[in-house]
Amino acid sequence: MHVENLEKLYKMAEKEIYALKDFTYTFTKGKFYAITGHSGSGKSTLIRILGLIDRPSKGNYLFNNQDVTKLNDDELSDIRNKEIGFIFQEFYLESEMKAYENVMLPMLINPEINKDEREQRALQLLELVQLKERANHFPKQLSGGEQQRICLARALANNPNYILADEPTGNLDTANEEIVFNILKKLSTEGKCVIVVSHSKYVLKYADYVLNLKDGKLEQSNELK
Amino acid sequence: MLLKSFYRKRTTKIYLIIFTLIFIALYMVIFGKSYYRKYINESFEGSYITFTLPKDKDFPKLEGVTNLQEVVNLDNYFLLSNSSFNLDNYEILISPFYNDSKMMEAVQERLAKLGIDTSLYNFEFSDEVYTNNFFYANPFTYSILDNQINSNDNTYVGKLYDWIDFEEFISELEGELGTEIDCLIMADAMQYIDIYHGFNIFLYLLLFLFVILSIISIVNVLIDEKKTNFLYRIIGYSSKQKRLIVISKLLSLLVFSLLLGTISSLILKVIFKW
Repeated sequence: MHVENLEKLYKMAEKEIYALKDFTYTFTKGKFYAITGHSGSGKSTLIRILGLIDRPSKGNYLFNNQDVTKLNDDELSDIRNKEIGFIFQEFYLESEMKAYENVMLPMLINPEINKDEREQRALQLLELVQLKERANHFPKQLSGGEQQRICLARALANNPNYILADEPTGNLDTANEEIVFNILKKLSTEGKCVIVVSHSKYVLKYADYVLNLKDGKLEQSNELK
Repeated sequence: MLLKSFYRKRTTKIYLIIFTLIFIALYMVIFGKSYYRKYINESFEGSYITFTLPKDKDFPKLEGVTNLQEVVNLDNYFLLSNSSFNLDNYEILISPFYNDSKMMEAVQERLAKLGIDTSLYNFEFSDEVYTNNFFYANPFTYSILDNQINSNDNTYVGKLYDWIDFEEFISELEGELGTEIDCLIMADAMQYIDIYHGFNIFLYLLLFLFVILSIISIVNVLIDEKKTNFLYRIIGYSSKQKRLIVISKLLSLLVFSLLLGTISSLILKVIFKW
């Protein structure tokens, strides 16, 4: 993932607000990136642009060496489905689907995973996040930590190379926070690129790089030993 | 899986029940209409229409009129030249409506006045459908009578496929033919025509209710689906795929409730022998 001079401009009435400005960076596979900064510093905007949910107002974005700024909705959706796994603070789970069905959801439109494999794969992923025994539970029957782990399993459904997380532990207690970060760290060591926006100080314990944003600009970028 | 989760929602179950009930009610009204239509038409079995047209006018082919036949008008009696009754030569059938010997004599007298040797014919009372003012004659009889009667008009008798709204139908037919149509009603089902039309009011009410509920349920499903738009977006569903999912859900709701409504109505029809 390589972004260059990224800009995101919001026009509100007569005012122009830069949520992101002159952001240039390269994210590589096998690394854990922590993005920090105050509220309104542009962290979530960056994650949404990196995840192809929003388009930048200006700048270049190469995803797997492909310029994604000119792709249409179908093409972007296809990349999101196969290459990117998302985790958000608000979970975004289908309330009327069981845990394993929620995990299967991204697989339904991925022709590379056939129908018979889906359920088995979902159960394997639930095992990875230590929730196999809760596979048949609905989200409302699960705790916040468990719901977030379901989201994590769902993010891995199509074995994406990139995991993007926006405050994934914002609603979790310390124990669950640790479980989530441990799994994310493990995924990065297995070769995935993990980018986490977080206010939590614990994230620095797991991250390889920390990027600090201020007023939409990259203020500092450090490699953590 | 997507449809399964849709049907787990409480609101979907409520819509399903409401739509099924509406479909059952619609079927009941349709069954009721069909029952009364059949009943009314059966009770009109002995009724007929008759009209005359100039002889040079082609035999009319009229929509909605059945058993239309050219007849010989003999005062208040019609001689039918209809071979479909399979009459043997020298056989004359008289309507059971006139099942008395005086009528038999009256018919014989009238034929004799036309120069027909009535001793050659068998006269019988018939159970055939025309039960008023009719007797039937074979083609041979007809040809004799045709020569005897000097008229510029042909007379026709016929029945209607459907006697509901017959007054409007006949009035339209009069306009089409440019002649007056006499209608002889042999039925005691006039009051059921009002009941039949009452079903129409129910039908329109139910259709109105169906349209209103469809709009409400579509709007509510769309609002519900909007809440999950972001979820589907992050896991890679395109706008097109999301729209397709919503359409499939709405269609399945209608098809499923129609199916349930149809099966339930048929079961009710069998149980209550409607």
